[in-house]
Amino acid sequence: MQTPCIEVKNLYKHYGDIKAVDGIDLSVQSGTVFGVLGPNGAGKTTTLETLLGLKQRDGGMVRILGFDPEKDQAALRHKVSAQLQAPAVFGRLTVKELLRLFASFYHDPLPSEEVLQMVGLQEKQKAPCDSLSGGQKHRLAVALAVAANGDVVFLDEPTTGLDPQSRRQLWDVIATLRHRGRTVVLTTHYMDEAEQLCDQLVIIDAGRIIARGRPRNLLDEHFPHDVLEFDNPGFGDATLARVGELPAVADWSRETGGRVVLHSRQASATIEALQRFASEEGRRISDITMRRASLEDLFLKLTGRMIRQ
Amino acid sequence: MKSFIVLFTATAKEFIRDRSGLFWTFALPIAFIFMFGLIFSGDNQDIPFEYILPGILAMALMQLGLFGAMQFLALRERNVLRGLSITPVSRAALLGSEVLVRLLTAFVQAAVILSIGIAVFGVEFANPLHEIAILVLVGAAAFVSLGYMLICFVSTIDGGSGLAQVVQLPMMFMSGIFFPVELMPEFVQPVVRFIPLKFLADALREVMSGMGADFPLAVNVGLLTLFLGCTLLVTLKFWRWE
Repeated sequence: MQTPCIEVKNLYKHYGDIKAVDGIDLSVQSGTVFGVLGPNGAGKTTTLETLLGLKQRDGGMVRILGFDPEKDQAALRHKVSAQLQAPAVFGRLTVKELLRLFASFYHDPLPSEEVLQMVGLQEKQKAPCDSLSGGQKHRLAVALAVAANGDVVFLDEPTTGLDPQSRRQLWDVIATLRHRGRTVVLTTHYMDEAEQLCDQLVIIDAGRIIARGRPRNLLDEHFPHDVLEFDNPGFGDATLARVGELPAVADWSRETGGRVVLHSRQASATIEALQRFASEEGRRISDITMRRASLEDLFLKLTGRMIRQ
Repeated sequence: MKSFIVLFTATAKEFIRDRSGLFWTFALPIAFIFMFGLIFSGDNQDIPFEYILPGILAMALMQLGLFGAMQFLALRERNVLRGLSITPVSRAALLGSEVLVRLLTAFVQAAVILSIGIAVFGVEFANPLHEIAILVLVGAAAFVSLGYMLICFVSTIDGGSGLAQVVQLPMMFMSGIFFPVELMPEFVQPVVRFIPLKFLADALREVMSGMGADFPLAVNVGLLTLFLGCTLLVTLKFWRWE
């Protein structure tokens, strides 16, 4: 068991009556990607800013690499980087000039060319920062955080507003950081992103953690069954009832349009048995689809709301 | 030191690439020189060109200083400076390079204005250039300091430029940079005598053109330095990064 690289106990941040962060505990192992998930306004950004010491916390303990970011900011400057609005400082410098400028302040920065390649801004390297589009500025901000080459990288909604291709590219960036043993903390309201990228995650709603764990484990825990769907090949009621008794089937139902839905404890066993059963009955089922529950479903189950409402 | 040089280079590039900033810094004073130069040429010698030129230089230095601080205000109000606090980029070095760029620009400005005076209007200076240079430095420093003092007391970018206008317009018209204060109504004269821009304009006029003023040169320079000291103290007292 490694020592955690980030430890947070009972973190509070209130604005008047609004409890933006309402008692959060976190423990992030080094070398992992940690996701903070939640809808807009759930307190993700405030949590991040409080962790970084950019906002003063109202209560609780924060340790990053053993340091308190509010008291020992100097000790963390070279080791922790965050995607921030830094491009606004020198808007008339070119992308490459700005990247080089920031890199020059760190002990062991990544080469600018490599970082530009990673975030897909090579073609814009000679463009003034001010001339970039919103998505490009976003990627530049990520590039600055990555160039620092510190131990911990904080990314606040790194893929929001990006086109699908740029999103994939940033996923690769995060995977690369992880591969190099960096710790990444990212906030997102994209559930697929969290599922793909994060080793551990917390789901935040109204400033509180409502679920935590490995994405897969969380889903297995809350949705132990796989969902199988197929078009009814002409089974009568009595035959369908026997389908409900096939191996590993926990539940079944008939949907409108002749679809049949099975909840299976083990999809492969159920599919095999279903195919055999159908051929014994002289029918063919050719369109079985399997749907695994997503974090989106989980959020809905936990809060009764869709995440992007 | 290395990081200061890096930041200074970036700040200088940023300044040079700012077209509208360059316009106000150079084009405006040059336009004023030609405007006044043409009005008071030939038969109309009411106000000699030797009187006008130091006033325009003083005005240019004031604007350079006052509006330079507004850049920094924008960085502060957009929370850029706050964000920098978690990086190894030193905010103090960033501020220092801003100030240094302004002070160096003051010399360039002065050189341009004086050159036009010599080349186009045949002005001859009463005293050696290094004495003018010292005044340029003190004057620029005083108004840079005033600019940073002002942004301590506003919390929006608009508020900052509004305040700068409120400060600069009366100074421009009441400090006798374009016409002698004696031409103004009797009752404003006691006030007008103590406008900081007047100390600079009068001192420059004495050094450049040999024209005497209300106060002797040493008093004007002393008052200007006192003004620099006071604004600096107030700035240090009320300064905030966020």
